[in-house]
Formats: sequence, structure tokens, C-alpha cells
Amino acid sequence: MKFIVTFIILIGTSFSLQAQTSHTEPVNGIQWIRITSEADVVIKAHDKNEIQIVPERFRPVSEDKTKGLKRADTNDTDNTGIDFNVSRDGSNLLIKNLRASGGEKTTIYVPASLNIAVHSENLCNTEIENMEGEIEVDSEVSGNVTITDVLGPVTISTNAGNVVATFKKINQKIPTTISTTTGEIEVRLPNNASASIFMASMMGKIHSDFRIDDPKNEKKKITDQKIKGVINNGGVSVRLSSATGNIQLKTN
Amino acid sequence: MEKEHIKDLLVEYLDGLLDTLQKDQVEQHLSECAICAKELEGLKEVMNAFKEQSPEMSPESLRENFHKRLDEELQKYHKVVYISEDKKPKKRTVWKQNIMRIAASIVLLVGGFVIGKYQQTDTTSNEIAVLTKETKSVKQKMAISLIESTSAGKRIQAVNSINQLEELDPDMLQTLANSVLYDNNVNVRLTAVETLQKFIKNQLVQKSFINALQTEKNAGVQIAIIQALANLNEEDIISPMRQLLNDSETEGFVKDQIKKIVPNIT
Amino acid sequence: MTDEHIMQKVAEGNVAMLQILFERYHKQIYIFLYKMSGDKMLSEDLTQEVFYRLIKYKSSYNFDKKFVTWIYTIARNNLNTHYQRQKENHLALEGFEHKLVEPQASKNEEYSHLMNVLNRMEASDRELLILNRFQEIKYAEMAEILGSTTGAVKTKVCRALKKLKTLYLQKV
Repeated sequence: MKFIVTFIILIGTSFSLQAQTSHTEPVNGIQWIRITSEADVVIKAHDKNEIQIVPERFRPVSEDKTKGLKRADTNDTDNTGIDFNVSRDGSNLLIKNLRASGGEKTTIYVPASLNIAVHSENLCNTEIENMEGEIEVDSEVSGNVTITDVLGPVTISTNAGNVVATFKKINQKIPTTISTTTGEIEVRLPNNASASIFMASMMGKIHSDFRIDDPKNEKKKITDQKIKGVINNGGVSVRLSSATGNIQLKTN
Repeated sequence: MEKEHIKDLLVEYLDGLLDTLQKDQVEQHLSECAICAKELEGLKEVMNAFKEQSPEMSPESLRENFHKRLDEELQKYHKVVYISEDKKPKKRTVWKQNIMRIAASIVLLVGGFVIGKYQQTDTTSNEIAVLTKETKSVKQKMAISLIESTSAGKRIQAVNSINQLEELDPDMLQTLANSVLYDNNVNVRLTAVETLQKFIKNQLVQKSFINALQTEKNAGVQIAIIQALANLNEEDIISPMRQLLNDSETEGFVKDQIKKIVPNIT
Repeated sequence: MTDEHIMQKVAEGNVAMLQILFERYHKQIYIFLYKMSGDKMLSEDLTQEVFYRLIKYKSSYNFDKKFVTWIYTIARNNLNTHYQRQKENHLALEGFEHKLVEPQASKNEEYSHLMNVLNRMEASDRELLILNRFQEIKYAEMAEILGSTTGAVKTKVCRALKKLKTLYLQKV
């Protein structure tokens, strides 16, 4: 009898341990994934019609002094077993990382076609790869934002964080806008991308290896700090601006 | 739990409004009581009938009449705003070039009244009517997506589409000013400031920029607003600028920018 | 932006923002009035009137109240006023609950079984069911619209549903 009880407890424990290594959530009816985080997040595309949240732990769980405690500054409870709160709001899936900043990175796997919005606080760095929908990132303090192999549109704002964005293609329907206060911006577009470009930095330098044409002959208005023109005959609006940071627009 | 009590809870049970404890009690009772279980089945059927009822359509004339009335109302508050800053000779040429556009935007505001006046010349009035309709739908689309869209990219797109119009009527200006003041995305606010800055002579725009300066926390947007206000009379802008200058949260380079624009500020 | 926030802006003179509330509510108000009256023309006129009143009385909006309860209160008042004016032909919604409301409410081939049964019910029960089931108004909000308490509304909706169930299942 004792043996059986122990056995059941063991099975139970291993199940709950397993349940704590990741969390999956169906995404039927979902259009937007909205993530709030203070710790680093990486978002990657996968082929399944669900999302999977995989926290990467740098410190053993046993050393975690906050284990079993609830964050006192928020009402969100951990409903996933991995310190995340996941809820639905209409066609939005809300994912809140309840971990404090630093120390941990989480990878979230998402169907490529979904739209992603990330609100990053504190030092949270955000990386997004291979997504095909709309991307919005708002980095409030000093997190960096790295977007790789996306199709646009992209709307990013950071305070002190740097932005590196590489596009496979650029969505021609909805504008792409990136702004930082003191961070640097580096954007890479395919050589043949068509866009109407506006770049402005009050104190930083602007560089590009694209040929930026000036169809309206507004040259006299263009200064070191403000560049307006078109690449490859013009297209969707791409607007990059910073108050003090440098801006680079490069070919892939 | 009493039977009648259970019956009263069945509707909420089906609607999923009960807490876990009550839900368990109801389910417990249902498993024991055939009468209540039957009652539940009946309720379920009739409640499903509501869900299956096909939705009625509302008539399109509702929207048309509403907008007609709204435009009449707006006319009481504002006059048309033109892009040209001086209202003297220059505007005449704009008038000639853009006569249809301007006529359309007037019709837009005054509604049926002006159409009635133009009715003597049939073709003109028809063209105006068509234009009115087009301008209006662009305007509505813009206004709605600007406030309703959950996508910041689409809201920026809406602002950009306004940027291409030559003149804006007051409700468009107001909608854009609201974006400057209330949109939660930095880039939408930034784009809205840049679009509105060419209308800086307009009182409504000035007022909302000065208000925004008092609430805006993002240094990038602060700079854009400060630059847009640069050419106005010093007395109008010195007070909010001073407030920002003395705020310990304000970034150094924002303060430098203020000092550059209002050199006498303390 | 919430309804209340928008209505506050409207009350402060930003009338253009009423468009947003119109887009959010005109369909459901029209459907509410149509389901109550069974008369398309009347429902269109009354819906129009609801939004005119929003413009006219915008500054009387009480920000402590939810917008949805305010607009339904106006819609109900409009319908009541209409019935009172037509008293010789129709019966007022309030105070005359034991009669059928509308000539259109009699059995009609175009209507679904559900609507036919609903139309045979007392106006007050019908209203409860339309608000709660079709319009999906929450009990607390219904209480404000109907000038009652949440508990009382819950009980009334429950009873009305039971009555409806009996009538509905009889004829299937």
C-alpha cells in the first residue's frame, strides 16, 4: 500500500514538474498576441496552431526565493505554472510575464501569421524572428529591440533601447514607423524594396547605402538631420526617427 | 440546497455566471434530481433558440440621416479650416483650383441645405453630391480607424491618409488632436503631431499642442511639439515651456531645445 | 477608448466623436426597438431620435453612469412616449402589462417560432428577455435601465425565461 501511494505521488510530481517547463495555449479565433514583460522575450514562428511559452531558467528552481509567492504589485495570478498569466480578450491573447526583470529569458513560439504586440518594461530585450503579421513593440525604458526576417508592417518605439530590424520584404499596405529617444536605429531592407522614406534625427547622424531619390525636388529642405525621398520609385511610408541617436538604412 | 433555489440558479448556471462553489452545488443537485435536469434541458433549448435567431439588418438610411444631422450640429461649432495660413488673396487661387473639393467640404458640413441651393444647376449639384459622398466615407473611415483600430500601424496609416488632404475640416482636426493627446502609441502621437503642425495657426491645434505638452512624457514627442510651437508668440507658449523646463523628469536635450526656441526663458 | 470616455468628450463639445458611439450602438438599438415594436419604420425613426437626443442632451450625461444604460434608457423612453401618444390605438408599455402589445405581435408566418412566442408574452417580460438574451446586457446594467435592483432583475429574467420555455415547448 505504502509503495503504491509513493508511486502515485511520484507520478503526480513528475507530471507537475513537466507541466512547469512550458505552457501551450490554443489560438483559435486569435488575431493579436499581446505580451507584457520585464524580462527578455524571444518570439519565434512555428508551424503549429497554438502558442508555446518556454522559459529558460538560469538559476535552479530550488534557489528561487520567490517560489510560491505572488507578485505584490500586480493582480495577475500565475495561471500557467511558469510565472505567466495568459488570458483572452476578444480576438486578443494577453500574455503577461510575471517575472521581475533580469535573470531569465523566455521563448514564445507563435504561428507566423499572427500579429504581435510587445510592451517591454525595465530592461527587457525583445527579439522577434520570421513573423509574417503586424509587429508592434513599445520598449519603455532601455530594452533593445531586434526584429529579424519579417515582412512588416512594424511599429516600434523605444526610449534608450537600440533597434535593429531586418525585413525579408516590406508590406506595402500599412506604414512602418520606428522611433527612439536616445537609441540607435538600424534598418535593413531588400535591395529592390520600394518605399517612401522619411528619416530624422535631431542630434544623430543619418547614413544609407540606398539611392534615395527626391521626386519633388525638395533638396533644399533636406539637411543632415532630415531626409525625405523615395527608394525604388517609392511605395509604403517608412519613417525612422530619433532625438539623439544615429540612424542607418541599409540594403540587405 | 433547496429545490427552488436551484431552479433560480439554472439560468445563471447555463450562462456560466456562477462561482465554482455554486456551480458544484448545482451540478451535484442535477445529478440527483430528474425534475431539475429536465428543467435544465428545456431552458437550454429555449436559450439556444435565442442564439440561433438570425440577426436583423439595420437600414442604411439610418447612418445617412445621422451624419446629416451630425454635420448640421458641427456647423454650429466650427467653420471650415483651410490649409493656407493667410486668408487673403492667396486663398482665391486655392479656391479656383480646388473649387470642387472645397464645395464638397462645405456641403459636407451644411448637409442638405447647400445642396438645395445648388439645385438650379443640375450637373454641378450631382457632382457635388458624389464628391460629398466620397469625401465623407474617407473621412468616416479615417475617423473610425483612427480611434477604433487596435493596430498602431493602421492608425498611422489613417493619419498619413489625412496628411494627403489639402484642407481639413474641424472634426478631422479634432480627431487628430485627440490622437496627439490620447493615443497610447508613441509613433501614432508623433505622426499626428507632424501632420497637425502645418495647421498650427488654428486655435484648436494650438490648444491641444499646449495641453499635450503638459501631459506628454515621451521626449521624442515633446521635441516634435516644441518645434511645432516654435513660431508662435512667445507669450502663448512660455508658460507650458517653463513648466517642462523646471520639471526634474525632463530630459536634458529637451531642455536645451526649449532654451533654443525661447532664449529668454528662465 | 471606453464609451464613457467618448461621451465625456462629446459632452465637452467634441460632437464629431459621436460617430464612434453611433457605429457601436445604432444596430443594437434599432434591433431592440424592432423586436419590441415589430415595426421597421417606427424603429428606424425612433433610433434616429435616440441619437438626436444624445446630441441635444449631451451635457446632461452623468459620467458616473455607464453609457450603455443611458442610451437604453433614452431608447425605452422614446418608445414609451410613442405609445403614450398613440394610446387610442396602442397600449402604453408601462402599466398595461397584461395585454398583447402590438397588432403585428399576433402570429406571423415570417417570424420564427421563438419570436411568435415572445410576441405573445407580456411586454415587460418580453423586454426583459430581449435585453438580456438578444442584447446581452448585464444584470447590473439592466437594473439601472429598468430602475430596479440587480437581484430583482435576475429573478424576473429567470421567471420570464421559464414562462417562455413553457410556451415555447408547448407548440414544438
